[in-house]
Amino acid sequence: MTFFFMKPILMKPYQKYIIFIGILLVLCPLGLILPHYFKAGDAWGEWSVESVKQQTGHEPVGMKKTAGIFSAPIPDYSLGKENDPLSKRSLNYIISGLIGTGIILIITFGVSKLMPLKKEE
Amino acid sequence: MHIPDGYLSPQTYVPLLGLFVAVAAVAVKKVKEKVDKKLVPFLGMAAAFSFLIMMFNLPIPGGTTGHAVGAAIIALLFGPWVSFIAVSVALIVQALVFGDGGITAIGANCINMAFIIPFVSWYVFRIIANKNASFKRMSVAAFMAGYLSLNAAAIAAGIEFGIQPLIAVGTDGNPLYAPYPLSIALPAMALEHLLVFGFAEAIVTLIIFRYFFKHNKDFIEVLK
Repeated sequence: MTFFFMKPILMKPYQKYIIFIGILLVLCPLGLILPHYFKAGDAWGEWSVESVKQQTGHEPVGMKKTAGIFSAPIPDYSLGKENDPLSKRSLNYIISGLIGTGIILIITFGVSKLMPLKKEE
Repeated sequence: MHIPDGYLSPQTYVPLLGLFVAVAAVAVKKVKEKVDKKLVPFLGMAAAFSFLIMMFNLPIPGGTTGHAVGAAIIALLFGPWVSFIAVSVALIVQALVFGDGGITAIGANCINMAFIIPFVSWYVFRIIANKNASFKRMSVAAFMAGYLSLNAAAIAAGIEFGIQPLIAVGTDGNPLYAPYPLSIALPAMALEHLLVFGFAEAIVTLIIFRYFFKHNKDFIEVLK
């Protein structure tokens, strides 16, 4: 099954890059496993409102109001539950990566259709 | 470095959204003029690459996590404007689909990671090396381009976090948004990137630069 937008990326010079993206996809659970193994928490400044309250003893009013303004369909690249075994979370992480990659490829080809770029010489 | 919703006051995120839209308008114009159609699949690949590289969270044992962005090498290969568009697409998908970075902070996050990184990377490389430089010198330039550009973005984010208690305080004197002052936020963001995460962007930039230099040298925009 080949969609119209896949044709250019399936041409030969791009095969190597597709393989490269595939390798990144397979390896991306390392981004979950390494922090788990080394007991590293959230990135600096990306804590939940509760965590900020715990750290500072005070709940910022504006933060509380704005933090929940939007709910993403797949929060934290996690399709399952937070306490799923690491193996299951890893598989879900790959699927999230695949979904994100797919959406990005569709968007960029859409953008390129709308944007009349210089023709190939 | 993905600032969530609730950390930036409207006085911060609205101007940054405006700045992002203005930069995006310039980027679209520049890319239309310069980039030819055969690069389009690479724009998608670049955005996908940036998206995936940001999933590789690196731990500071017992501490925080961080990641490379990939924006530095995309800038060297395709130019800073293409990198801006590719990384912006990745960041917007992360915010809208995965809640990584807030929707109110899209402007801030795209300015930090999709604008500052590509341009700092581009000019750092150009200052250290040109197309006639030795391979060794170019390698140093690529490494430093990655390292310094990620740190520049981290410093920008640290400033955005740190000015919140100065500009948005409730009637009770407590901060309304990001709680830590500049004296904490700036060193926290700068140090973890200077000591750890900056090297991730540097190594990614170096490895991919060397690969393209050996196999597709004519393709590298920063050497044109």
